[in-house]
Amino acid sequence: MTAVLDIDALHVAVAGGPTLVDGISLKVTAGQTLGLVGESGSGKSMTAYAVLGLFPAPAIRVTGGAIRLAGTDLLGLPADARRRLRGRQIGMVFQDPSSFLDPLLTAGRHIAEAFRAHGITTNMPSRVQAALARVDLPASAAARFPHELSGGQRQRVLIAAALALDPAVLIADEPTTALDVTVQAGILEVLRREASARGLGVLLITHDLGVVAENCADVAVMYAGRIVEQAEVRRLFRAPRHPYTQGLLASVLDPGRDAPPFAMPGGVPPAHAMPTGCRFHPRCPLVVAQCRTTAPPMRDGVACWRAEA
Amino acid sequence: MRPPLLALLMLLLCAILAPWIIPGDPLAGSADALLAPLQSGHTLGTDDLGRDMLAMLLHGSRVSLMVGLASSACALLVGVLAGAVAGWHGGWVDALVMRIAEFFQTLPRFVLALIVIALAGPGIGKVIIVIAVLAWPQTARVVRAEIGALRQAAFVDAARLAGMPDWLIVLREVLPQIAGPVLVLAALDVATAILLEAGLGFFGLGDPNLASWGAMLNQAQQYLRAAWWMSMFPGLAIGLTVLLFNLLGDAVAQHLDPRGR
Amino acid sequence: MSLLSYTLRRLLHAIPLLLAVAVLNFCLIAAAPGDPVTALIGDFPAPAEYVAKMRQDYGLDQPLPVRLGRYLQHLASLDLGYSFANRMPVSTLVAARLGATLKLTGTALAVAAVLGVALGLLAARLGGWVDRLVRFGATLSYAMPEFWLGQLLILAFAIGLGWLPSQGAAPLRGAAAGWAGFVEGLRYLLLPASALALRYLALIARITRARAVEVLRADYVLAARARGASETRVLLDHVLRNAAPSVITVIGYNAGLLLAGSALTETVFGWPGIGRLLFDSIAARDTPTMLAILLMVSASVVIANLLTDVLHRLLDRRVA
Repeated sequence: MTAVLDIDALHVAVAGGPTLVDGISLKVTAGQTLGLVGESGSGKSMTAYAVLGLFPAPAIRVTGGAIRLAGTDLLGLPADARRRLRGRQIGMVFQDPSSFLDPLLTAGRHIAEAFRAHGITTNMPSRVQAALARVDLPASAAARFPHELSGGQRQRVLIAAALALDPAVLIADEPTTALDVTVQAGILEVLRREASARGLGVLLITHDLGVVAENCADVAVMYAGRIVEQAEVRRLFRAPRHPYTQGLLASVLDPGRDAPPFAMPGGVPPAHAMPTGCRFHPRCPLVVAQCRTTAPPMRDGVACWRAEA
Repeated sequence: MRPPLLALLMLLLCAILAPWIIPGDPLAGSADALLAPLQSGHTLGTDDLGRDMLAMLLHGSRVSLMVGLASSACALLVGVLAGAVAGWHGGWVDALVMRIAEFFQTLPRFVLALIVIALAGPGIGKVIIVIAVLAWPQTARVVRAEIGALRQAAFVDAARLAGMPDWLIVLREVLPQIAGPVLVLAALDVATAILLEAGLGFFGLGDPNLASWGAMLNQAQQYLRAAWWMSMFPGLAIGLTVLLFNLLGDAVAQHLDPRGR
Repeated sequence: MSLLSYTLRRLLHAIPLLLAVAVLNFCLIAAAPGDPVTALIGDFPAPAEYVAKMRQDYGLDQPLPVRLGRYLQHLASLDLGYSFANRMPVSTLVAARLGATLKLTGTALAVAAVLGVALGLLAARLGGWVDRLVRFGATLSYAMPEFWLGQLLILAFAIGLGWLPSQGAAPLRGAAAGWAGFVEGLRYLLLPASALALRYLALIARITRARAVEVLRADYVLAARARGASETRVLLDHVLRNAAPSVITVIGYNAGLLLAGSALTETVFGWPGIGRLLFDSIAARDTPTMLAILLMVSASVVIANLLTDVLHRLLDRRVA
């Protein structure tokens, strides 16, 4: 199956400063959900922003690689062409629905904005209503202001706006992290349903392995700007090969296990002080001399000198 | 922030030393009326009564700075006191003080000052009091809000447990914490007061026995065609002084909140 | 809470303020030095009975509370008192001047609001040297007394270049009719309106810039861009809308600044409005006129604040 979104050796860096994303490659297939997992600061969100062509600070930019959407390299497109792809071909859902909705605009206006941005101005009420219905919200929600909606409803509004123009790819950046546990399941269900109904390719960014297990076919594990392991979900959970993945899985609370969850020592190194060699080596229990000097290449879905083939 | 601060100190020094830099009565006229700048030893020219502009400007700075600083200090004192009482006490005292503050904030400062001085007669002391009476509410509001928030702070509880009386806690523990925002307001108050005093002078309500920048501009109005310098220099002096105090306020604010705007 | 009930509650809040302003006004009248009757009769000795009759006619022989009651009663029927100096009711005097002041302040307000918001948005959006220039200009302008700016404008454009008239609102020989008259009126309006607008403009540009910078960094702007919204739409739909409540608050709560500036500007330009009337009444020691103007200005400020709060509420429904 061909990839609808193909990220190839992507590099993102602060101008004249550190590298944030260091040559990662990912493929999102239509109708499939790819999980992108890692701790905060690992470069997951920067990857998403690179796909959109939007960065939170003007100094951050793509410094190498390619991002192909249905075969076209986005990085070669002029700014306005990139803009016209946002919302129309690539939808994005964010982490905290309360700060990503304009407090002074109604829910309906947010969805209408997606249409208007792409020159569609007719039949707006019925379009908005249809978009709301897809995320299981009543038509009356259109007139509500963000502060009149619950957290889950807000996220549904953002999803409705992101899916309004039937994009080919949806990037969901920690879509349930800021929500109550009871609401999370409903949001994920909407995403799953819409993805399979429309043949949508989803890049699901999360730090929650539980979310990955339930929603994704494949998963990539990111650490300090690089992908350390990529595999089919069931395989990864059954037999993680990278020590970092093993640590992540061990740190999950598992009611069936007697031992307390494992807390990985240390944290993701800051972008301006990346260790040489394998970036995980200062925290790695299996570290050897080679790890400190040479970065391991991605081989067979894992980038580790110690991984048993 | 260095250069503005330096300029401010220079200005203050000039005002204090004015009688020694250019001795004599700046308001005494001479036969050299309406001389342009740099003519016969008058650097900034003379006015319609032959008075040296530089001498009047220098002596006028005393009035402007005096009114600005004194009224701001009075407003600061009243504002901090009222705000502290309201914020610390809460309840009906708070409601009452804030209602009064709101009333004074509603009053149009300049027009009221104008009319009060017109009725009561000119005098620096009166001007200072009127401006202070109109300026304290803003300080009171800020102090009240900050104190209201600090009342529950842990270090206040600690002081209370140590047996410190309330007024001492406010004075020694709480007020130093809110000095920053209050100082910002005070600097801006000085600027506003100087503008207001100049406006009064321009309306002919300044002290007739003292040189003042506003009064100089009043006089310049009739001689715009003949003597541009009569308007130019006093206006520059007012604008520059106001600017310096505004910059001082901005600098203090920036220092307090380095995230900046 | 609905907008209507909020407005009503806010209105109820404004009434005691207005009343307090009126009482303060009365106190100033009562405390004013000099006897209005003496002012009316002049310096020559008048028969005692005549003076007593005058006092009685104007109710000056009554005790203070009674006079306060009558004063408020008169105010309620829009009777602002009698100008002994001009020998006509203050309301007549004021009514003749109101139009000119409204024209001047209205123009200045419109110019300041439009240019201020535009410059503020521009500075926030473009950043760099444009931003520094706007901020520098705003700081400088805000420090400039409007009456001096007025004199500078006269020096430059009326005396130096001779392009525009410097005094009055219309030529002495009377205004022309139709289109020519309108253009001529604009020529007279241009300098005073500019002088009055500048400080206000600086204030508005500053708050607009500060808010716009904040909003441009907000998550919801990123989300709007992610939906494909163009920079223009982002600026109009999100930045302007979210900056508007703060901008309106600054505009409305500084109405006093505009009115004070108007008094000074009118004096510089000989503009036949309320401000000039205030200047003249101070020169003539015409206390009733002065105090009527104070009352009007205070009431305008109270009403401006009220309108500001209601408008703020209308734009931002979250305000409690």
